[in-house]
Amino acid sequence: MSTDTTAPPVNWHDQTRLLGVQVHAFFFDPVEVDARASFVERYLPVFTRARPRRLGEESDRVQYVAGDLSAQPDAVLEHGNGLICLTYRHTDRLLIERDRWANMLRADLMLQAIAGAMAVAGARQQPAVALLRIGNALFQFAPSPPVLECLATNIAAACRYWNAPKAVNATQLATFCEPKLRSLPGIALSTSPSSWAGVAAGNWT
Amino acid sequence: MVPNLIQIQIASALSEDGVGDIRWVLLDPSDASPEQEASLPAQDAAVLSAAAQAAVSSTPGSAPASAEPAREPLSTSDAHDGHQAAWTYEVLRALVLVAALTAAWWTAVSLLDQRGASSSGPQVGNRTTP
Repeated sequence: MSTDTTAPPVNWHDQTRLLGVQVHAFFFDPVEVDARASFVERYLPVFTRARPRRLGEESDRVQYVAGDLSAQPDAVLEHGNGLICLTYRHTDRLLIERDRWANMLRADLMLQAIAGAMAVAGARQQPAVALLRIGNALFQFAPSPPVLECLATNIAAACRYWNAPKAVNATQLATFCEPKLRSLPGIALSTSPSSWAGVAAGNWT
Repeated sequence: MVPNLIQIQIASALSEDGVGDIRWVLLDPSDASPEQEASLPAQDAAVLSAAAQAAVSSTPGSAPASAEPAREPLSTSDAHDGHQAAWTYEVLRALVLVAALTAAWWTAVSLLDQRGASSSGPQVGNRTTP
């Protein structure tokens, strides 16, 4: 899988690291953005010229299943060589303050978006990126290998915990894994990506 | 033999043209029935399932070109390891049970022997007269 390094990056306003996930944030005026015409302009305002193609109709919410993990994201869009798995919340209560957004972002929503992207990527066999759009911000989540490993290795345990007959959904997996992630040594600390390889290989200390 | 692992690729970078910096993880579609897993204690079953379920790439930006899970070097274990570990666990549990029963039997026998020895000795209050 090649990565086009010449492609112009999107202009995120800020970023931080939360529970082993690199979070990029884009803030916007919801009144102005919600009045835009197309779905991409309204829900993915971080793009200036890119226009990802949505899979299915706006009213459709397709269920994606990968192994024992299922998800029903709000929208899945084709974007170049991969997919965008978008979760959005419309409530006005989820307006966040730009100067303290990192403390206001809910970890369960973040993990739910990542788990949903995992289900979509597994079902479609394409790389997927996890995005979350709330009232006045759009977030992109880049989970580190320990986070991916934690989510992947706890699917069966989450199935038993939630007594899920067939597959555990993204919300259930996120709720189940959040305390486990918080208990992982070093996961709450800010670390550089260069140290992730050792962590993924089992060198936790 | 490696079961049909599901490759999951999660992109960490987003550009105007697509996604990049891809990390990947392998999911094992757990084929063990819930009844089989219910026979194990929850914690042990979780550990076994975790050991057999996933392997994560450690090199950001390098997803494998083909989905050939049997050739993945990072696939550290498979479902067979889980069954073997479960069998080992059952054997060890039986051994511990037998050892505990043996220790209890030995303790009981020792106590009975001591009581028998003390009952054959002089009785309290029976003073012998010269």
